[in-house]
Amino acid sequence: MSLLSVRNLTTEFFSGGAWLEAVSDVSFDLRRGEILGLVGESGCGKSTVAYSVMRLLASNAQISAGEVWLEDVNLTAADEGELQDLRGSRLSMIFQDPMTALDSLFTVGHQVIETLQEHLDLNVIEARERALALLRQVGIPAAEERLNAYPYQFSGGMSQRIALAIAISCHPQVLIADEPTTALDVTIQAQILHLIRRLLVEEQGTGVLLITHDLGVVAQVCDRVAVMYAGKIVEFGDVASIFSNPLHPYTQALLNSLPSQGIARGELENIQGRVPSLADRPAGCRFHPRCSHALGVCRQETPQLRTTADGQEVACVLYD
Amino acid sequence: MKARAGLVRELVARLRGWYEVSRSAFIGATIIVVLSAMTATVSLYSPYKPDAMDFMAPLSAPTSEHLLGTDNFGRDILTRVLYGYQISLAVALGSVGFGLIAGVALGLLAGYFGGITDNLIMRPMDVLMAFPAIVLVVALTGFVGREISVMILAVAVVYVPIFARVMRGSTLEVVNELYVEGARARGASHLRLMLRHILPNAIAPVLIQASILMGIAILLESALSFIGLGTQPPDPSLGLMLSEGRSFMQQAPWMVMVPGLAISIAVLGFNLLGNGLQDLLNPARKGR
Amino acid sequence: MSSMTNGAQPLLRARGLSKYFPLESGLLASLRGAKAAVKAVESVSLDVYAGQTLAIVGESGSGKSTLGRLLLRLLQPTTGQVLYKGANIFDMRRTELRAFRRQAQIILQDPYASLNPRMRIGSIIREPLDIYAEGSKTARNKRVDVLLERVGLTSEHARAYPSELSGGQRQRVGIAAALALSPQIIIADEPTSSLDVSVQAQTLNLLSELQRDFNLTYVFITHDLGVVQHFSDRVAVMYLGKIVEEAATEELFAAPQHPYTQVLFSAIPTPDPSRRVDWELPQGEPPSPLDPPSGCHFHPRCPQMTAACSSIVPKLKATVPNRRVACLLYEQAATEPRPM
Repeated sequence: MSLLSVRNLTTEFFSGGAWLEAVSDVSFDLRRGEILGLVGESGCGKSTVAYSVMRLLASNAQISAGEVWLEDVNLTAADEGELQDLRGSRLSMIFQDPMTALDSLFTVGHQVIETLQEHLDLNVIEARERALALLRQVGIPAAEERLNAYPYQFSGGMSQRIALAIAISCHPQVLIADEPTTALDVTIQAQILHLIRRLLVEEQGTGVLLITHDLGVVAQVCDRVAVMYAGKIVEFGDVASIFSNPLHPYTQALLNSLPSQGIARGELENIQGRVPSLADRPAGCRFHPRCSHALGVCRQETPQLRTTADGQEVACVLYD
Repeated sequence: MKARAGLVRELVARLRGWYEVSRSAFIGATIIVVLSAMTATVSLYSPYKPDAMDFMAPLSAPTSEHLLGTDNFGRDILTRVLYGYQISLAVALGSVGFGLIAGVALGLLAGYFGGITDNLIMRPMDVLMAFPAIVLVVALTGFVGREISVMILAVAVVYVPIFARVMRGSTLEVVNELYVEGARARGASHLRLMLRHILPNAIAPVLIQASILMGIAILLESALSFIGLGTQPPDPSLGLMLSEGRSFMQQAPWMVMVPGLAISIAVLGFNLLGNGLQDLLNPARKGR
Repeated sequence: MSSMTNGAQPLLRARGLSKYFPLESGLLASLRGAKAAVKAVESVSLDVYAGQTLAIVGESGSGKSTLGRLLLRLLQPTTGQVLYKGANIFDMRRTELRAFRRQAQIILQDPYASLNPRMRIGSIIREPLDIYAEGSKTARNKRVDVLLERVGLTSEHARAYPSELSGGQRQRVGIAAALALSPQIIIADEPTSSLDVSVQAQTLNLLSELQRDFNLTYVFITHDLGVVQHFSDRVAVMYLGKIVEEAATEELFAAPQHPYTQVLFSAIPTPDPSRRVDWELPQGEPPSPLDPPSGCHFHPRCPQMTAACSSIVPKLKATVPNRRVACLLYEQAATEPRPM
């Protein structure tokens, strides 16, 4: 069932003369036709997970333990040639800044056609037809003309549509979306998320790993969600149960700190202190210094992700 | 004693830190510091006067007495080079100093106020810039006189528009920063905005430019002296020494090689520093 | 909480405020006479009541930030007035303007770009006091310590540079600097949009405490409707330079009237999976403010568009007391089409 399987992934960054763990022992499965949310605050390691899966880590970072499997392919063991074949065909990614994926020197049409020809056996005319169809699919008006336009001629929302068109051009099995709508207005965000859901997940059965800090986005589009804190998954489960019955104190605090509908005025609950830096992560449960339920054991014992009776997974001694 | 050892250790650590941030700036600065120290104190340790002639040893090759040889009058070349640096550095410092102060002030005003002020300041700068630098300097020195102060002034005139343009450009960037707008909203005066908020954040490219222009000033001084419009004999100038040595290239190649090398080393020092400053003055690093 | 207009006095009022940015600048363009212009803000009128929070909501290109800057005279308007306690701030001379700047402060969006990287935190917070020469040097430094503590930092932070602080801490510094002169009104331009949710909650709590303690008036410019609902008394919704709807927060959220407000609200991802919206969204993107559609600017995207919408410019009119909306659906008597 699972398309993408991340097993005990640990990724380190070299900084200040030492290797520091950005992601520690993270495991999850992404299934066919689902959107899995990876949610957390800045610095929690969610983007590092994405870049580790894509094997697009910066030169000062390395996967130090664990494996990532795309069905039968071990991505952590693949060499650069294999990875290049996989990226863009079976495995695709879109970024917060769509310009990352676009080359400002070439027309949009050129870039879509190039990607198509690289991975599929198409001649120029066929590729052009496919490109046109793709642009129409992602909702670009006057696609014929837009094919000859350069990236700078597009708004942020339009560029993200193009990036999406390129990302899905070869029917990837897995799409990794790193904060794809964070830089966009809400009405455009809704359109793009809607596109991802309809075009990819429902029509093609793609598995989408959606990295976001926006709990609203998670609630609206994800099927399951992993909550990350300081490099670890602290809670994992289907969206409905996590939002209605958050178990981990961090998830609870995060949800309660949202200023939102229904609760007018009044004090927002907030989490004291701040996210620890990579260099000084506390021992034991990494959340314990900020946790209102912290016990003595939390300081020493590292809680493991355990499955509760309801099928939710949580890493907290309160549920051991 | 202990305190001093700590101080030394800290100094070493600090130096190593700088070296790690930018090797090029560190090496460049070291060259410049060493050259400056040697030339500033040359009268204290050199056994020779720059114009003292040794008639027993004209055109002497390097020996233990004359480490880098002598010229056709038997003057010690090492000593003359070290004295020559005084003129080079004086011209470099003086011209860059004047050019920097005037150029930064003009560029800041032009970039900050924009509009008519910008045009009033920058159009004359463009005219000045359109003039070939060397022609301008030659004309000025030829016209006004061949003293070192005229040379400084002439090079400074060439530098003002360069500094003004760089400063204006970086001012235009900084002036739109949010913190400038914030200070303006709090009622900060034009002067405060320019001096407290814009100048410190916009000066980095100017300083990089300054370092590179120092090197070019040394070249300009040498060139002027070489063609006879700069330092006059018997004063020791690197350019003049080069020119004098030309006639003796066959018999005494060190007469041209030593001052030539000396010019290159100084220019290299300033260029390395300029390149390194680009890394050091990156504002993202600031605040340590 | 509802309809607080009675009793409270408007502290700041905008009257027919417009700001057009000419597209071409330079000698040639000014000789040829102004041509195309971006109408960033178009005839905006609104009242900000003392001690309350007015939220200005809109997407990028709606002109909300430009409006905020006009309210503080950081930009000169093309037409219109801003009255602070009855006096037009654009007519103020030097001393009056200084007095106004003391009382009206700004908190800027990006805590990374809004602090001078080459000044220490202490100097940044002290700067307003220096500008107005408030008290002696030692008194100012004492005030800095008090302010730092008030916003949840310590006096040790005074010696730090902005780069040594986290985003949340920096935003506290921005708040402390805005508070230094004990202002009456603070315009906050997306003060929490670049912060993590838990830090955002801390910052919002701080801002509401300060409002209570100092009876501050806020104008909150934001695109985050969760923040709006939590924080504001009244809301003005902007689209392409115009206010399309204005109402008390509770009333607006209970029943948004303008079709754009409705679309905007439905596009907000609610953090509640049991209330999933099947997004039936307007096609296309907000049009360019360079070339806004005729009639109602929203009509090309409007699900309830009528034939008249492309020719008639709807006026912002009171539908019920204290509630204004600019939409033909709510105009009682059919308005005659006016020549454009």
